[in-house]
Amino acid sequence: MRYTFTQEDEKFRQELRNWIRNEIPVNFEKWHGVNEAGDDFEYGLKIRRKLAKKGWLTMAWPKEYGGQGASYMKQVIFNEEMSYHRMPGRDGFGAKMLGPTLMVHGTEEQKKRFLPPIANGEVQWCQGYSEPDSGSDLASLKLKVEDKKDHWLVNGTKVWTSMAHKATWIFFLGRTDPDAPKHKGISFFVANIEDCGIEVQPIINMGSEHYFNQVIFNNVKIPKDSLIGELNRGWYIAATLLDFERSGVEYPSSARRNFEEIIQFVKRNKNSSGEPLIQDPYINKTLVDLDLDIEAARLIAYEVAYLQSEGEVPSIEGSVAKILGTTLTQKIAKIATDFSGLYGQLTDSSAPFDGKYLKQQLHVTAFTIFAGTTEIQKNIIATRGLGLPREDKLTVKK
Amino acid sequence: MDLGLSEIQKMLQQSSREFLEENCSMEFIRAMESDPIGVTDELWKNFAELGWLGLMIPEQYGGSGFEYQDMSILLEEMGRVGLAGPFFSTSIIAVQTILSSGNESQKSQLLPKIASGDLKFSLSFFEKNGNINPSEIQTTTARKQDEGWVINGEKSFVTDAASSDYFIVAAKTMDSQNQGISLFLVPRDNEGVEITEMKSVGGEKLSKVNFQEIKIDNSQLLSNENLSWDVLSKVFKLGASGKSSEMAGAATKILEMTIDYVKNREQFNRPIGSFQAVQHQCADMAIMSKLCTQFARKSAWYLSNQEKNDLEVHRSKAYVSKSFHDICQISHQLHGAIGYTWDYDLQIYTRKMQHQKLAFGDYNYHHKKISKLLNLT
Repeated sequence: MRYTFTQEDEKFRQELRNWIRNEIPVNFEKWHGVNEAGDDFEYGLKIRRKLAKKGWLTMAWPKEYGGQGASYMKQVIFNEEMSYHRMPGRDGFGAKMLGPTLMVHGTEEQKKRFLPPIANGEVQWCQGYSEPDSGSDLASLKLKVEDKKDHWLVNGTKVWTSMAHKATWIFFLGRTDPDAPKHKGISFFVANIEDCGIEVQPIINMGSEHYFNQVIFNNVKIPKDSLIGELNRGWYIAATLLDFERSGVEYPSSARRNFEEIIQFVKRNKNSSGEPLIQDPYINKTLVDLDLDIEAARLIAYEVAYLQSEGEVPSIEGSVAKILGTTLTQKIAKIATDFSGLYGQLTDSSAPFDGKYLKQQLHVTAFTIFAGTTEIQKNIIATRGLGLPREDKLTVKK
Repeated sequence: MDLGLSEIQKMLQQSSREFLEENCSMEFIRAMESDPIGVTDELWKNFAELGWLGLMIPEQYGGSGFEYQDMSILLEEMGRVGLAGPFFSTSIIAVQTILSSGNESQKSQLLPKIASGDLKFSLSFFEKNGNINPSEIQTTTARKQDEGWVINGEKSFVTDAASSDYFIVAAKTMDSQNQGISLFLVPRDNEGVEITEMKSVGGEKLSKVNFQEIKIDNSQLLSNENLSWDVLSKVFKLGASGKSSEMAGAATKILEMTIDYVKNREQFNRPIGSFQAVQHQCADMAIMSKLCTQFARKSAWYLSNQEKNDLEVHRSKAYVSKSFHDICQISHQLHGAIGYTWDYDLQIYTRKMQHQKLAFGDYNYHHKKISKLLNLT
């Protein structure tokens, strides 16, 4: 057992932290992060390129692909510090998802073509998985991809596609064999959004933000070499267990920063009855419970990374981390707005933190829904982790 | 960051699980609940032979020289089978108290006899109010007389008094709000010691102990005069972390029992474990049980390896006390009526939980400590 990081890891943390603090344009205390999906997209790309130069963007990649083969714990530290400091620039779709998929399933030519721009932080990818009729039951997806000898013909719609409005490329799952069982007729493709004439329509969320989109493929022709891996194996390619840290440590880490910020607020302000917030027992209890929730999510994130570094495949831990981390983001936003009294409803600059936590409260409503809802995660824990029978696979005795 | 067990810990975990499963069946645990001591001589002898009684005692004093973090793994296993009894009082609380406060001659006289199973101890700290706070020690006082001391007062919530050879008594020796506490070794057989049982729901042996004009000599002063609160607060941290470990072990066991039950219990022509409403409650249990283990182990590791460990101990006992109760409740819900019966073993854990979650500080106590450490007050 050891519940601290090694000296070498801590040295890396310090180096990274110094770099980040130097990179933040204002005093760290006043830094609230940026909107990478909106006005600050270019700024995010700028930081991404700097991370690439530092070797940090793809430090988890194997050395043969220009990465550092960084340990899981080093990746944990990277994500902790970046999240804690509200730094933009990480590349979830390209560096973390598509890159590793290509390394395993791509042809030499595909790797040469797609990996360097990702590694250099030059390209934004997006992911086309969900469809209007396929959410939690993703394998029921219908986007039709037909083999037309010299090209693929694509028809259908993807939805909730984050960053599609900023991305140049999309990787997506399409149905290539409508007659095969649902998991076995899906293939994995890539396409250039503009060149192929793929239409991207904005979807504005309840926080008035533009993160995700509807992506429409209307008789879209894509080149033959857009198929990644074997035909009809797309489901398994997408599910390839990528040997990357995916502990969800970013949730407790950014929560800790928010927690500290909220404490400062609580120390300076009064509750709805006019008493100092800090003397309010309800608020005290809420904050200590929140501290426990943050520590719980952090412990599980470390456990995921620890299991991975031991060469084990985390069974329920990944789902536990996702549930705890995302639930935590909702709790913290709610607490921050609860503490603001009547100001908790304001979106203008007279609201505490310029209404940041209210915005966040609306924003993070999606967190327990995307990437496998809390309910789906609990199903996974119960069936894969605890070995309980799947309801949909059950033969009921008469 | 290494969240796995060391080789030694793995061996300890495996060997203790095998031994306890064989020797501490539920039938035995039930019998020990009504037994005045809570352990048989034979089992105690086995514990000595296995090196458990002196697990934390350095080799120079006849022990095995393990660290507390290793002990925490054994405690998980004891929690798993629901074993209470004098082990906790003697081999953790008393050993740590003597190690932290005893002089050389006390250590070399007492510790080997604990390791060999010849002496049992019990800490007499709490008074009528049951609070963990130095200022609450008011009624038990010790005054100097001739070459020794005279102790008077009444203690409550003394664990395993009936089986102890010695009490370690915390008494006021100076008029001060938070200091002026000294620790004394008082033989149970001493004239003027009177023990009255306090009935605890889970078979934990609790007593009131009255000390009346107890005369002891200077060699029985266990600590530096007046300066025992620091020792005690360290001992209480081990107690809190240790109860967390017991609960974590019990939580894992209860989860296993529940999974087994819902897989086999059929209603509407199918196992009830196939219903999502049941599955999601099982998932909630699994999440909390995993966290109980992680919080407990983290606090144990901190106690053995880091000077600053208060926060981790408080987090552990606060989280585990609260969540383990929830786990018991969900488990009963999923077991339906059968789990509610005396004959079904689940309820044994539920009753024992009531002691474990309250001992060495309840959720509220540790909550307030966290609040202080985070500067929230």
